[in-house]
Amino acid sequence: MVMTSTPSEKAALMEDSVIKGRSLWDDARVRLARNKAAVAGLTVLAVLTVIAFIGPLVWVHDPSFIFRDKVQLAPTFADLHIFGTDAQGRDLFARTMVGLRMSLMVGVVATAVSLVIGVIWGATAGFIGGRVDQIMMRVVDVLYSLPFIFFVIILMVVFGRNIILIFVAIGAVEWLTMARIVRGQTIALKNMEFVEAAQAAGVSRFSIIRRHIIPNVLGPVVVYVTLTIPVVILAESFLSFLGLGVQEPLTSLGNLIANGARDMEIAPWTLIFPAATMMLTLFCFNFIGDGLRDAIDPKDR
Amino acid sequence: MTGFVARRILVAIPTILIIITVAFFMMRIAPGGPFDLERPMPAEIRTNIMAAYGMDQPLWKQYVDYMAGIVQFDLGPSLRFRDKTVADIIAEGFPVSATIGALSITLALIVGGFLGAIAALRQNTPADYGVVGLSTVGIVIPPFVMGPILALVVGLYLGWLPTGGLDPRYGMTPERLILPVITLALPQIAIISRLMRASMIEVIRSNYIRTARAKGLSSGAVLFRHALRSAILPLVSYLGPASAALLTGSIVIEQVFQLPGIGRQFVQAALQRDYTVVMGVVILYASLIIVLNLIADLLYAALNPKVKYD
Repeated sequence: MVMTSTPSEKAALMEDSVIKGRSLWDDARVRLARNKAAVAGLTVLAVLTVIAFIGPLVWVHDPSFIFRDKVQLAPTFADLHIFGTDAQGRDLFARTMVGLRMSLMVGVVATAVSLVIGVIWGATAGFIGGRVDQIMMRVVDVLYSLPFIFFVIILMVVFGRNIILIFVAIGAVEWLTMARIVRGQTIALKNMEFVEAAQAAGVSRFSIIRRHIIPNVLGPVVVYVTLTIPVVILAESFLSFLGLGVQEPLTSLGNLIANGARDMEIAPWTLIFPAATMMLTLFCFNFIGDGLRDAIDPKDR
Repeated sequence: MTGFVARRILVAIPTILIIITVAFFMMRIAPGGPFDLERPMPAEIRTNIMAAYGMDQPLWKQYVDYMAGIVQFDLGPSLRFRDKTVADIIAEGFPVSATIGALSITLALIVGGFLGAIAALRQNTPADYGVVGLSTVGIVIPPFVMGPILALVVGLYLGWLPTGGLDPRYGMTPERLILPVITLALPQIAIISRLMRASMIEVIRSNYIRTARAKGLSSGAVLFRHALRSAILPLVSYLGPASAALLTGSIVIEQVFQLPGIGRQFVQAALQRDYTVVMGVVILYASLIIVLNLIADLLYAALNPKVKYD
């Protein structure tokens, strides 16, 4: 068999040598764009985020304004109470937007807290190695076996229901897996041939960290962050559902669901709309997380 | 094996000690105590009550006394219910919580295992997609959303089942347990069916299954005698995390369906600063998680000949 290349193939080859190499992230973006569920998730989440942050500013009803004559009004287009009103006569659409905004904020901020703690802890353990690594990971193991939600509940009871504390408490609970992931990646990368090769070629330490370590650790971290945000949103809603989370006049989806569950016999819409909003949000994050994992980690396919 | 168990218990003891210590001091530095009622009480009565519960002692003394009690399995008196000890309260709630938890995990293992196996054996068919889709739904919908919705639809609109509460005259009747058990089991069914599907797919592609088929065994024998045995291993190792999830979930379930279990007592006690009850429940749950994890590990090792206790 004689290998011949058609002119178009030759042209493609030539073009390839001119085109700048695609980075890991370009590759990932292309793969992500091909994943319909992830793209749909991203789109819906973007819409939800815009509604949550801009909606309350422009919506005709104020989330805390009480319509005394319209308590538990069923959803109606008259006066634009499209989600109805709650047991106090407040517009549920406005409250759902504000609640979603709170849940998204808790999700992002608490995940950021867990990210910072987890990355520092894991990277330190991985880089130093030896006994320090063993002790630090032993701590993580012990913490793993604690019934953490109980400690969060106690924390909320002890220090009052302070919104900053919710961020910190949930973030402080969720960092363990992040630390494990980062440590594992760091150790694996330290001994990789391409890192050795870069060292042998005389690349500076800073460049190695910037060009090789950070991009390779970033992948799994980004995936895990997208998967942590819904977990955190759930944790906050869980606390709010028990009456231990965000307090009035602030509200979150968990609060709204708890109120809706209480009033569902008379006003089922007070449960249905916040619950549907929450599920939609969680679906989006899960699809994005799964899509990102497939896109960033080529080994998985 | 004895060595393995002994080592695990040796690790468990400091873990529980840390839990107790952290929980103890966290509760004590809280502003407001269990005797801050709606009406302020006279100072002398207050002093007397504090003395009766040993709360006038220095903190370290209280801690030592408490630890001494724990060693003798004495969790102390409830601070809110005058004639009840913590043990009484736990004894009241535990049967309810344990029944719901045990039924849920059984249901989840049977249904989840079955669905996962079906999905794996019929990979890339509508049945498979159905199971995978359902499990995504199950993972995303938390119990505190699923519970009220089930109560609303099945209990209220269809009127098939009561929406909640246990009638003290009849105790735990099946129709009052169905909804809580299903709500608690659903997320676990979702996770277990995913685990089962993944492991089953791996197993049926392995060489020894091909050998079993090649030597002419019926597909039933291949499935039940050979494939299932190794396919359920990931399920067994998931039992530890599952039990922790069930304990956490029980807090919500008992709140939603108004069941007098431990989870509900824990939340009530935490809100009322009933220190000793909160501590008792935390210690109980932490010990339960540790013990259940140990059992799961032992079971795993017993089922998997590759595992050696090292």
